[in-house]
Amino acid sequence: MAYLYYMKKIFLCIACILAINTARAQKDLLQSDENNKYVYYQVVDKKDFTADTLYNRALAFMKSQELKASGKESAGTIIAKDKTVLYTNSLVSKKEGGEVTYTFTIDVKDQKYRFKLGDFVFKPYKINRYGNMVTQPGIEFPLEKIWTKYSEKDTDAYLDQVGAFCKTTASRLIKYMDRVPVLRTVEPVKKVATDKW
Amino acid sequence: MKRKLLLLSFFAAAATFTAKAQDAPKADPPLVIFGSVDTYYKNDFSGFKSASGSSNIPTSFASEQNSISIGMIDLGLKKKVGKAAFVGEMSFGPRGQAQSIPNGASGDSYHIQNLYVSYDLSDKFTVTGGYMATFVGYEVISPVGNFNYSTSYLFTNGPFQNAGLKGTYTFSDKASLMVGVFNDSWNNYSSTKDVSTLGAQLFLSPAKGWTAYINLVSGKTSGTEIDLTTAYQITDAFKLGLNAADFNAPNGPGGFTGVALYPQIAASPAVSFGLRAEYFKWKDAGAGSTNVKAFTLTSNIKAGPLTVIPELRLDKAKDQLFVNSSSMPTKSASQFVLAAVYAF
Repeated sequence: MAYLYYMKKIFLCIACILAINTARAQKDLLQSDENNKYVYYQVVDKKDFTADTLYNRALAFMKSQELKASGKESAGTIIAKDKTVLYTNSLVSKKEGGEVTYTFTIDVKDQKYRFKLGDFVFKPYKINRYGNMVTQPGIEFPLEKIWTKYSEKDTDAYLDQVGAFCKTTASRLIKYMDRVPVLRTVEPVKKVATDKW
Repeated sequence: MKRKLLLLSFFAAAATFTAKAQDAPKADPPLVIFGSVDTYYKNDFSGFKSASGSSNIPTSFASEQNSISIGMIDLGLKKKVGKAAFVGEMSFGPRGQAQSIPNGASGDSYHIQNLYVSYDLSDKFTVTGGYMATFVGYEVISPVGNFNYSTSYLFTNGPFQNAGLKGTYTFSDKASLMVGVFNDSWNNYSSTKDVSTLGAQLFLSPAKGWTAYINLVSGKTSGTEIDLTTAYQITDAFKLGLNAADFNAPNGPGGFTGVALYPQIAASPAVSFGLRAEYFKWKDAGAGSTNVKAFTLTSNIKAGPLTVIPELRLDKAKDQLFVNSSSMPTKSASQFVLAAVYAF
């Protein structure tokens, strides 16, 4: 029975270390651009792919994620605006703490593409009379200023979630862009002569 | 062996859910538990305490004189899966029971604040049915939804909750329209006779940070109230709210009319101050009409989920509605309240 006790301890330690590492990694995924604004930016090489192919795949990705292109894009650029909900953590359950609106930009060229998640604006939620968490009209601030409104713990928790969201979105995009389209082949139907016995 | 199998099953299940969540463009939000608890101390400066323990100012809640008293514990659950959602919220304590929630036919109290289901028929149109907090007015039962701890005369005399079926169409983030049919009487879990109250709400947002709700609730049993509730976050620190309403009682004269202004300023992320200046008039129902002006100065001091609310209030009536320290009729009343609200 003693080994069970030690197993439990080891398992708990590993879980704690993993949790700490994950948390640290998510927050650190956000970069700071030339204007000191948070961004998630990556350039990806795609040899043998033309700009047209990459553009069409990027557009299909946006549709698959229910992201609507803003219509302001130029040639080779797709821009979409959307939001993601951030949660506050408590011991019993997690609750919506606010939402972050962001701009998702994909640029394509022959043999490479780049993407950026940026213009993060945090809108804190407040509970309304129907028990729903909703934004407070007129209350919003850039994600870079979140530390001026929240404690260090809450700020880190929100930034971790934004980092994790960016990472997930980026990996979905890369996976989608790498996808080889499956050509639908029509199986030939076996012929039979019905005029002969 | 059993433990290993259990652990393996757990990881397998977790992996399945993770994989599913990553493939889906937008995952459903989790089951949320929410609520609040509130407690307060009140002192009416006249020192008057009625047999029931209350004092001069007759608006809802914060009513018990010279007493450390409880408001309520409010517990809610909500979940949305795809386009279907529910909210179930119940409360225990004077604020959530005897002071606001109606009793059933046999004297039982279900303590329900919200109990409804909704379905998004499209991106713009949602249908909701059940027992819901009223759509009328600026203030609400939950202390988390109000800046001031004591409540206005407009709130106390208007509806608290309406049971019904409503449809909300969102034209854009600047305009929406709700129309619904509700039970014939307010604040009842079931109708007295039928479902004959009409309710409508037009939402407009004329500028960034400015919201306006024009509300109508009208029925043969419950009367007709027209209400304007608007708030404008003019700067990051300054917000101005306004509530104006007119109510005509059913089957005859009577009702009320009133207006309340709510300027609020944030001195820091943790401390803010707000004033409620209200004028309220009871309509002549045969015994004459009177009015009252009420001024409430409130501060909200936040420490994480806890809000401490010190509040000073002065009510001045046209007639002698209150009593003084000698228990003689008087035209004015004043009180101090110190409340604490914890939201989770």
